[in-house]
Amino acid sequence: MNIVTTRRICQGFFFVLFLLFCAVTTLGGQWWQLRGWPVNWLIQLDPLVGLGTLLTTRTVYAGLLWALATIALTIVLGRFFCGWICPFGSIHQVVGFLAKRSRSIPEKIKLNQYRPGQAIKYWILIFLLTMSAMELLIDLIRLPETHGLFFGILMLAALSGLILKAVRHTSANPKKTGVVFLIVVAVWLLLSMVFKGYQTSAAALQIGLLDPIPLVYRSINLIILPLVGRTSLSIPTIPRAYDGTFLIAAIFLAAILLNLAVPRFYCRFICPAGALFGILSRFAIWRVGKTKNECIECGLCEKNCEGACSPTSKIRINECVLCMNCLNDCRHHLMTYQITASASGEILGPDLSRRQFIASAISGAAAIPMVRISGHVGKNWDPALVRPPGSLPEKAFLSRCIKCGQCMRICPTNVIHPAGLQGGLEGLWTPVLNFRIGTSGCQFNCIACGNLCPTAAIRPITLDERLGRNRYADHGPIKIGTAFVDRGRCLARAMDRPCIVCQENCPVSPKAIRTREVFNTIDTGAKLTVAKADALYIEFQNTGPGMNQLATGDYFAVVQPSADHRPRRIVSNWERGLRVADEVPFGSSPKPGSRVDIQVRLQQPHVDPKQCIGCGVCEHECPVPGKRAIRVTADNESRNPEHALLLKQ
Amino acid sequence: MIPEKKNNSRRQTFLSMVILSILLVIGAGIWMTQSRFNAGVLQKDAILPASNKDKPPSKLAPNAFFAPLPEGVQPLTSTETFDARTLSDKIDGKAELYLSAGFTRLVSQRFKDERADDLWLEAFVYDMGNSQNAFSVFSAQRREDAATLDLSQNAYRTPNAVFLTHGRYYVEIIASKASEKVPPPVKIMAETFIHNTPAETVTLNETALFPKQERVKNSMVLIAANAFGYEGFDKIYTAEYELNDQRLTAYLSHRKTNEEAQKMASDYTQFLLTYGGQKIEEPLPIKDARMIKILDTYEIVFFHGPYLAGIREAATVHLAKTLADRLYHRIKETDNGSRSKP
Amino acid sequence: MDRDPNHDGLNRRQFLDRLTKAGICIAAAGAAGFWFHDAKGPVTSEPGPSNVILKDFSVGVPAQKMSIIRGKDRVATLQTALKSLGGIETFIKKGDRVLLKVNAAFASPAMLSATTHPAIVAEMTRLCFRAGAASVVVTDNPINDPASCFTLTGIADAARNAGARVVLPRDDLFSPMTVKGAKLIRNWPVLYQPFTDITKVIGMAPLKDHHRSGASMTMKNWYGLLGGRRNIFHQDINGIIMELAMMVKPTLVILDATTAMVTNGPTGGSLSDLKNTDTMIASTDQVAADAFGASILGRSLDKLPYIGKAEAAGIGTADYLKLNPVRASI
Repeated sequence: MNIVTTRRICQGFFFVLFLLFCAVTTLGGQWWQLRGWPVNWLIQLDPLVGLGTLLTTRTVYAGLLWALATIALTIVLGRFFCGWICPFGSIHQVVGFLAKRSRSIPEKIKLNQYRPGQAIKYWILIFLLTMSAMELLIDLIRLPETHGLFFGILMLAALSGLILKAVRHTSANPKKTGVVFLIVVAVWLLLSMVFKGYQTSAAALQIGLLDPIPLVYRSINLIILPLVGRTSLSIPTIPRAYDGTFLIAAIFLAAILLNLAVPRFYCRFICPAGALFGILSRFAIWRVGKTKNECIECGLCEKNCEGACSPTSKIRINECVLCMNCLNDCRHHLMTYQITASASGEILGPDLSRRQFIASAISGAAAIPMVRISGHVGKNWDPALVRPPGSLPEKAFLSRCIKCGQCMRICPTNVIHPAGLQGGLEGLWTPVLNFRIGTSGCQFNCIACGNLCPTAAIRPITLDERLGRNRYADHGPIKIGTAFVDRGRCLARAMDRPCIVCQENCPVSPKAIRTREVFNTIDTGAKLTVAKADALYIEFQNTGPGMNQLATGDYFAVVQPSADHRPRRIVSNWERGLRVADEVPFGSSPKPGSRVDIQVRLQQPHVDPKQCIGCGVCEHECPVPGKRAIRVTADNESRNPEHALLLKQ
Repeated sequence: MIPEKKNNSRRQTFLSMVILSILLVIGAGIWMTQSRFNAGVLQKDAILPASNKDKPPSKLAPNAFFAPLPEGVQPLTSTETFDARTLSDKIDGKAELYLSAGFTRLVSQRFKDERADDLWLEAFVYDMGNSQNAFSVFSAQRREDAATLDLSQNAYRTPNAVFLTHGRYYVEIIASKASEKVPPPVKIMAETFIHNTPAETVTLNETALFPKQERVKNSMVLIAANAFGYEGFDKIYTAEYELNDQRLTAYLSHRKTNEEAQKMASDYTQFLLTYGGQKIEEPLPIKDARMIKILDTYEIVFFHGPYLAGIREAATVHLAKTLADRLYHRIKETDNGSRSKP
Repeated sequence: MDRDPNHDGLNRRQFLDRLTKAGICIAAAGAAGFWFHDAKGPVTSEPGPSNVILKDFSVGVPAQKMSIIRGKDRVATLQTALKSLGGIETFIKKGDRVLLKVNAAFASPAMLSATTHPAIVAEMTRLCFRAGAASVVVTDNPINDPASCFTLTGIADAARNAGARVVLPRDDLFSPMTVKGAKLIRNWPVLYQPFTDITKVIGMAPLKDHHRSGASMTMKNWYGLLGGRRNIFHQDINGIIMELAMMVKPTLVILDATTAMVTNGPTGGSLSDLKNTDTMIASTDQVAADAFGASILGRSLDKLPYIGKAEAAGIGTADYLKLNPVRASI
């Protein structure tokens, strides 16, 4: 069986698996729902995610250990992930294939030439990894201050090493090495004193922006599946909507369409995971290459070369994605997958000059501190940034979120959305709650998002912890924000319209929205005066409101002047009169000529911040359709004590 | 050239086979993990009596359950409603089963099929408060000659009746004569009822914990209270198994806290010992499990996390141990699985 | 990086070389992966009560002492007050490192009496050095910008001219502290660093009216040691003042009621808010000092619930007469 056929089967298998994982990611126990499907497996296999989180958090969280399998196999086999597994790569390969079909063979060979731009993905990788490693680097810089003894020992060891080399005459220029060493130590000590008090975390995990696995999950979850959901193919009844997705869709589309220009454009030029695999495949045991040096350089092997690794001349091992197409395309049966190096030579590493390396590294190092000058993780935080329950405090969150969109997909009420700039530039596409979209607000009994997040940016919480029960009774329920009534927009407060939908829907017990009963005199358009009246009926001298307009049960009549100012509920009215309820007859019949005031009974909501958990159901249900009259902001969220509204008693 | 080509192609074939078998293993592995529910799913599907309390009681009037009636079916009597006090007036001694399982209201009515002369029906709609209770009375009365139906999550028929649960309702529609298949009016009424009272499909996650191997079909019962004659045992799920042609029962219950499960296990063990059981010193591969011989059968009682579980009515030590082992592993992996990767 | 494999013999060596390096990489990756593996994920556990606490700086004189001196010249009344307690030497010994906790909350000129008067800061510093103190530190965590506060109030200049060191608050000088038995000060950032090598603490507060708490005197003075968004504690103002008094056991407190702010506290802003009450109080019992201060303001103790709470907590006594305060006029 041809190895290329197997490769196609393998790509197909993982692509279908990937689509299956995306499709089943809805909350439920049926076979077509989440159950226990390991929907994060492809993310866990991606070593860039594992490495990135290891650098930012110094841990490898739970299932991310799978990355070891990929790393080990890559070290042994080469970039098999790119050619055999990556679903994003498969998409590019198919589109590229379709685009190439009509072209002639020389054109195809030209398309697959190695381009120096293929080094860009290494810059991107260095940029992203340096950004992730900043906290570690600053700890390293501070080493003399924090672990002076250890630093001293380290320097002594280095010094002894250098002296040893000088004594044995193995070092080139001992004097120069000595001076350089002294300079390094001096600068290190200086920097450690400068950074002694450095408080802000300088690291954030931004690999999610360009790492193909989170990218493709995000694109399918937030763009393709909602589009499919609007057709008759959909499973959920209400099509999902996601705020802030234009950029995600544009990037996805652009990446796919670029394959029309150059096949596997993203893989060759942009993909940082591919760059990582390229570095890891340096010592691959098996590699693609020529068996003998009898090549006539016809170039046919490059006809379908996916990685643009120039197998004709010196094959670039770090670009080869093991597509195996060259094995069959070579008419002279020279190409194979072997343990010896290619007969016409091979290149192991990318063409990365020192200058490019330093530029990428310094950009990565400076990026987060520069971005954070805006204070958005400190005092200038955006109150619109309501994060899902179980989210870590903001800096820790930004060190873990890979923007994969899994939480947004699983959320049963469709309230989690990819952020725009609410979380700062680094918060792009991280989850934020929008209560106007979706079916109901953050469900009180739901713990789905944290139990799905592959990197624990949203912690997996138990229901007890969410509701503040049993073990967590002291902590109380997890709060993601607080609702604030907008008095100028609230129907009951500003518009004399009875409502209290917010209070009805508040899910906590006791309710976090209380009401105060208020009677407001309304303007009926006419000054109503009594013509004649008895215990239950009043007839007006002039014309009042239309038939039964006041009979909804919310309107009350008060006669002025009168000893008894009790408002009496109106059960029916007509243009010339009204009738009050049987239970509240007028004690003494209203005198002719007295004024009749029509009052509306309002229950005006006010929020009890001690009970409010910020779930947003009130905002969702508020009948004011545009800017809701009750809105949730992130004040008093549990995850950040600095945002507390109330004193903890 | 040609021998090389052959050699090469043999190598490729060999490699392909290896890779394809790895894919199969991966597929199998994925299939196996999908039954270990993610904790978020478990929570969603778990029956929380508290959360069901929040659901406002169905605003359906008693005679709206089966409206619109199928063609030709007319009410013979008006609806009768019974509460906890008056239930025994209607169903006499059977009331005890319902009352101990959270019964709140019964609505019953008789209907006649105009077109079929001697066919009349009586429908009983028991409002049991929540789905777990409904399942409990459903499973406790499952008839011997039952045939499972597809109508709702739990439904079966006997020659002259249809029994089903839907959300927190337990419904019986009993016809005056037996028939080969479900009479169409009965089926339509059952479907109408289901349509009128929307309820989510509910997975009782305890039922997923019973190992499937050698389990007797449709033998799962939820005993709401006083299981096995022991007063402290409520909300116990039981299932029958047939190993080596011998029947034995496995049971488990999800308690609120780990401490409660542990205490119940030791209290029940005490209870068995008080009533003539003897402790059997037998090494068990389950932590803190105890084996008791009582009335010539063997019982094993154990707990893991918040689950209390055990085996009873096992004829031999070996049978009890085998089944206990399986049950324990199933509980352990679900309990751990709900906390680790999805 | 290039390899020219014309020599077949080299292949075997290259292969073994690659094999070894690959093996080492896999082993290193594996080791790192398992070493850093965290199966449970982050848990937000409440950090345990922090280990930092403020020492007990009280001198342990046989009984609590208090002196109430009347006079217009606050420097003179301060000197007399201290003499009446047995002299500064009773409290400050040779080699002591003293911390003066002043009120520099507002960038307000000294004459408006919203802050501790620089003259008595200078005098106290001078007296400490005369008693043989090795160093004197002056500090506070103001509400307005710290540098402006210390400068515009005149405290910085006065302190430095007398030889004291002014410590302005910085983020890294705060540590989370939990006061034993407290409900509010739990893991709350407190200005702890300046206290680390201190042996004696003297609180120096002006007598002020306060709209929220009723009065701001020696116990409320310690509010200036809290960091973070401390305004949240205004929701339980009496509770927090009591816990502040639990947190700090000073050597001595000075309550300067020479020109007391009797209305519009704590910021005041106008000379008409002040009254020449011409009194200086020095005390080892901060509750007693505050109780007497209340009488100067004309406030009954039930209007200042924190005094009763502090007494009930055993921090001191509100019945200042029991201390037999030394009274004098100059």
